[in-house]
Amino acid sequence: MKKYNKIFGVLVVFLMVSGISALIVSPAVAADPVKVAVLTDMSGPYAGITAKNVDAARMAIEDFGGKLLGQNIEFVYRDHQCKPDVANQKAKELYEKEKVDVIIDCPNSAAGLAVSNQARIHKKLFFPIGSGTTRLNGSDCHRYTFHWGYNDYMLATAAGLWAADNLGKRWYTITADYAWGHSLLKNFKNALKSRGGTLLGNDMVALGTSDFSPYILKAMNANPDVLVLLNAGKDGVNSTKQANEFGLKKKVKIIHALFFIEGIKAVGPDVFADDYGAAPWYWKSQNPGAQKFVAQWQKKFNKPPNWMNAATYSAVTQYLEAVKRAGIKDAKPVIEKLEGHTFRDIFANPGYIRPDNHMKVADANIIRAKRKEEIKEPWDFFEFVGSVSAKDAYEPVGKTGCNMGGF
Amino acid sequence: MLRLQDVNTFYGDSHILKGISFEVKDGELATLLGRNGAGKSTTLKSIMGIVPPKEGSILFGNEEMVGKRPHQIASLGLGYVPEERAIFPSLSVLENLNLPTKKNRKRLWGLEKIYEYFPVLKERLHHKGSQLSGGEQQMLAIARVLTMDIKLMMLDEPTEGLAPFLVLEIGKILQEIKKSRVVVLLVEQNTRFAINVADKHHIIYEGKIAYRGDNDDFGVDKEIQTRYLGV
Amino acid sequence: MSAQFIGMQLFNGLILGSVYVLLSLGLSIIFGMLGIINFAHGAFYMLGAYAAYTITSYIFPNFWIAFIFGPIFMGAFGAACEVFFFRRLYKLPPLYVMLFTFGLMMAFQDIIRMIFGSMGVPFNTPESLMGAVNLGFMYYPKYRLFLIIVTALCSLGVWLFLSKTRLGALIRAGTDNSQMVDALGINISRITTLVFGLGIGLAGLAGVLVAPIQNVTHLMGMDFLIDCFVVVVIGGMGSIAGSIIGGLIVGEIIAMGIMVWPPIANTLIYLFMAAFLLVRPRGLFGREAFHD
Repeated sequence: MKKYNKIFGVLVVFLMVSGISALIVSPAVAADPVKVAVLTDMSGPYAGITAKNVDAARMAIEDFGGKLLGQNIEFVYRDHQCKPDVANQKAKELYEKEKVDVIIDCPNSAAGLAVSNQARIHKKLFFPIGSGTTRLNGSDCHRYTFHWGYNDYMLATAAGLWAADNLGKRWYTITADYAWGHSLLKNFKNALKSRGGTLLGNDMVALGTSDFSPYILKAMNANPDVLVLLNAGKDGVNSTKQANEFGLKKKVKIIHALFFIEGIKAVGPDVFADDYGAAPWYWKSQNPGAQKFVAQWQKKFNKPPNWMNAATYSAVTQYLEAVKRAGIKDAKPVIEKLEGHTFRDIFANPGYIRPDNHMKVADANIIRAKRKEEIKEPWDFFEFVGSVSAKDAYEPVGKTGCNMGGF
Repeated sequence: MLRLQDVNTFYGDSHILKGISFEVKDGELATLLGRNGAGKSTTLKSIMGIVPPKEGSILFGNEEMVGKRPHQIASLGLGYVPEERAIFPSLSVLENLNLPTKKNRKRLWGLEKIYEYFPVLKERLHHKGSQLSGGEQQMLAIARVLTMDIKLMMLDEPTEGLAPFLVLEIGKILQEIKKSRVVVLLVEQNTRFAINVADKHHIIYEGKIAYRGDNDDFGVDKEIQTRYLGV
Repeated sequence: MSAQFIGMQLFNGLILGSVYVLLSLGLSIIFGMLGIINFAHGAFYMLGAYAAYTITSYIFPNFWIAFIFGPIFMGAFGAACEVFFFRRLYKLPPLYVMLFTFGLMMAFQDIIRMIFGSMGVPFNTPESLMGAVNLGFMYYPKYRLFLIIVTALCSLGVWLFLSKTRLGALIRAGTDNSQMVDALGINISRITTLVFGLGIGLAGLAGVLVAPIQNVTHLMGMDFLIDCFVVVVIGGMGSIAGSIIGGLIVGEIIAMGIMVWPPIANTLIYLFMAAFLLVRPRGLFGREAFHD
């Protein structure tokens, strides 16, 4: 009997030890799966443009194969309704409760800055797409945020340089009177100055102005080559419609800060016909894999993707690739794999992730809105008319105001 | 013609008419007398449906008025001249006169007769209501109701604030109205005027009818006059 | 700054003001008679633009059909709103009615957003009114001239209707003292329905008229609404002449403000309003009675 007890005791000890060690060892053997989140505007003012970023991210994960580090890639999404406070709360939840490794997108610059701050606190990654503020890769930059797609400097500088070279050097600007408009104006002015052009006048216009005709008359009175409209959405449509009405386009070319195919679709091609702007991407792109992605998208949604959809697809893909290269999903090794990385994908050909400020840069496209009679295919609203090199389109190294810091 | 039975009316929480009952017969010119706040104006407003009674019955002819809207009551033949006269200031005198709906185009008083009895209105036909003096406003308010096809006319202190010669004028007009077989219910503070024009008097005291009597009796009953009206 | 340029801006300000005139007319008539401060007025105006869009895109592709039937439809819709919603609210304190109109505005905007999306819908200038006319001192878009003519005719029509017809007299009487109109045997509720329909019809007409020159979105009424309250305060609540003069004044202030110093242009109209509230709270043509 005593002998059996002894054997039993040994057995129990053995089982206990192996059990405990199994508990200790198991996380190392099978890590948590990689978890990707999209946080975007699905019911607010930008929903028509950004809501499908969720689908873009899903497609990127599927096309990647759905598995990474031996496990299925998990995916969640949240709606921030374009409200910074909601974005902040949702980001906190995603990092803490959902334990996501990366948050993608987040239109609205204030929301983007809030999420970026949460990324810094939680030491997890964030790829802003829809927020254009240069603070994300300037004064507010840090190791965990990678700005994908575009920023306001690029929109203004690329369009500005190209317009000064190709459309004329005498400009008039009409600017939406808030931070975004002001920042665009500064960069447009610098681009014009660097090409030796003249700014004949600028008007700051309150948001939500419905009749721009007095401004249009002022602009026409100044007789410029180029009218730059630094506004978006409703204000952008109002000012352009009214410029057309006064026949301004007969003599003057119009540059817009931001173009979306959905915007043209909504108000009809007549409004923006023959206007110019910078765009990170357009669905007629010949980048590797782009047409396959577009075809897939068309099939699913019966419309082509916009550039934010493509940027989301690209950001998710490049994040997953970096995890794969690192062989582990921990933030630090993944970030080290991303910094300074050059890649070619549907969105950028080539794209380069600048280590100095975490801006993903690529050559910028200049597009022209087609006139109604030029549109042969549904949704084919733009024509590529030129490009500006990544070097010229983005802030020079050392001038960004970014102090990257450690992990 | 008009019979009120146990009418109770409230302004919010305050109980103003506490069971008013009285009757005005065909061909009569009757008054409602009483001190300020006794409930005289409220009685007229209750009859008109402007301040609908909570309880009680108001029969006009054989028809129950309680529960009807003011415009329904008016189109049955009740004319109302409120204390504040309620001339429409942005309408001209003529527009004021033409405003009430003329049922079957039948007017009790045609415009010609109105101009005859209210010559001042004829002179000011195209002036706005806001430009009239108090006396002219009173004339217009009475004339306006006379253009309707009414059987009963209720006036709320028509002599208030008027010069003595205008008071006389109003008295004459009331007699003329009576002649056109319209029953008149007159609310008055001016007891002397009331005695001069009316056939019958009712005194409201604290929301109830405290006295009713013919002019012959009331005119000489100084005790009643002093007790309820403080004459 | 040349005299010609100043003339251009002054002329343009007149036309800028004419949309304010149409909107404030409706706002003012409704306020005058019903005492309702209608926050949903801008939303009705927006619905007018969408009615025009729906007519031209789905029913009959002709601007003139929309121009005629859009406002009629909106007037009928407004009358229906009065019968089904507003009539139940007259007895409540004004604050409740204000909150209700505010809620109605939100509801209309969201319904339109759900149906048509948040980015707006296309609407082009009718072929026959494209291009510009030489006015001697400037070329001016034909469509805007059309706009000011329609506004002038409408203002004249509303004025004639209110001042020369029996129905107009009833409406004015109702504005003065609706209880007395009732006591004179007139069914006031039919008149209130009519007035509401007329006011909303005018808002609808303004919506149809601006559709070609502005972005037709679910939010287009919001920005105009506040300016219209400024017009009504300057012109005087409930006054037709006040709406017309007030609208034109606001248009000119904006045009001149932009010419001289744009950042002050919007603030200027509010300063003007504040000055009016301090010095002459009933506005240019408002009646004392409303401010007792």
